[in-house]
Amino acid sequence: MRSSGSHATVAPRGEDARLTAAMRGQRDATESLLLELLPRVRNLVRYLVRGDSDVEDIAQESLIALVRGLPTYRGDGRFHGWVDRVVVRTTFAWLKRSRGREARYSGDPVELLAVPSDEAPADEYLHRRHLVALLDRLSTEQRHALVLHHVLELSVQEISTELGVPFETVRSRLRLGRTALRALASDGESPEGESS
Amino acid sequence: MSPRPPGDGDGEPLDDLLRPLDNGSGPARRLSRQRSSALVQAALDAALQQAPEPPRRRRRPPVWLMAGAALVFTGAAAAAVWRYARPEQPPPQMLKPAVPEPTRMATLEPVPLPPPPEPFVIEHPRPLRPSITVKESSKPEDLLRQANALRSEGKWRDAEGLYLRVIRAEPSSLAAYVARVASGSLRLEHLGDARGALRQYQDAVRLQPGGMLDPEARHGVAEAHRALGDTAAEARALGEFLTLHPDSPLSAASRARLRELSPP
Repeated sequence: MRSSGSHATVAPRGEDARLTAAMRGQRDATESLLLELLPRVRNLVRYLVRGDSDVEDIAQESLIALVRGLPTYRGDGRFHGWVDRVVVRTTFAWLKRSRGREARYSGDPVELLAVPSDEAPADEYLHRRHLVALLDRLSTEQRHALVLHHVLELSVQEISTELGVPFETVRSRLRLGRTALRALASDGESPEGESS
Repeated sequence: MSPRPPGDGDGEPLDDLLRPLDNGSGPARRLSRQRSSALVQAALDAALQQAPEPPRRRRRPPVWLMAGAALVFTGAAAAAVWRYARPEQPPPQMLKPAVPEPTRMATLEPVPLPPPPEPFVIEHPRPLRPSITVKESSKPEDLLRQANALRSEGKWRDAEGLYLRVIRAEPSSLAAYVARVASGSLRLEHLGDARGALRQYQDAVRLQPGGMLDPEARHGVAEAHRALGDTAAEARALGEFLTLHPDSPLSAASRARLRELSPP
């Protein structure tokens, strides 16, 4: 297993000063922190919602929630864990507010492009784009259970608490979601549209 | 959020498909540094300027201010009507050296309205950074700079207003060309005005063919057509773009999109 975001160091010691300054509301420090967190925030949002069209809106709401919540961060847990939790809750709240919008989602064109990246090799980007295109075809419940468990590495108990659903329901969603995702992945879907 | 215990959730690994979140690229679409910065700035502005307060403050100006403004504008309108309607007066007797008044062409010339007493600000009552003031006499280049600053703060409409001023001021200048492309991008990405964006991009291409922003303008034409759902026009625009700018950073995505649009 690769190193996880949750396992990643919170704020490396050298950056504690920046985090402290951001918690005190200093704009420069907060801006620098948000710029660093933005890819993580956007990626998590994309894991949780269907399609790309709402990602920026939800990411921006999440950033706002992070800024407003920073003074309440007590530093007693991993900073990225706290960030992820804020993003998850913001996303769920947004989905709740816009219930019905997902029904209109008809599938963004699967965009599998060999986009050069500073941060990751192109094939990793392609893999992730392909993966979320598969996730887009799962039910929202199964998707959220899978993402919280396998992407954010939450325990079943934590997911049960976060989603407010029984423990066994979470396990069932995980089981069904995994089966469905594997079936989709093994459908022989070669990454269509992959560019040279 | 603590890492899950081993074997939790029936233990079946899915690491070949779903991996723990990291700071790498994807699955969200890539975002340019400029747009990332704009997004962060807008979030900061929103978070810091609209800090939640238990009793929500009204964001409308106070009633007295609205009434005052209404009075000013009503008065100005009345003055204008009066000026049009009043009969020609005999020239007044000059008691001091006369200031020559330009000849007016009956009712064809608009009557200048008296300026409102002082400007008032409705949004952003407590700006955290020096507010950007727009001088009437600003040069197009200055206006462009101010528009870009507004844009980086997420003040899309204000920025758009300045871009339009630049275009109106010197329609054939380089600054207007840049403003057209910037306005097209703003309309497409933030103002939900794909038709207006298309017009701006097309004007930019038409007025300065092969200009320094030609790749962006031509690609913008294709994107605007896409937003409007006109796939045939989008494909044509992408074809033209790829012919003229085969080595653009946008060309890979454009080729892929063109393949999507092409019948199998």
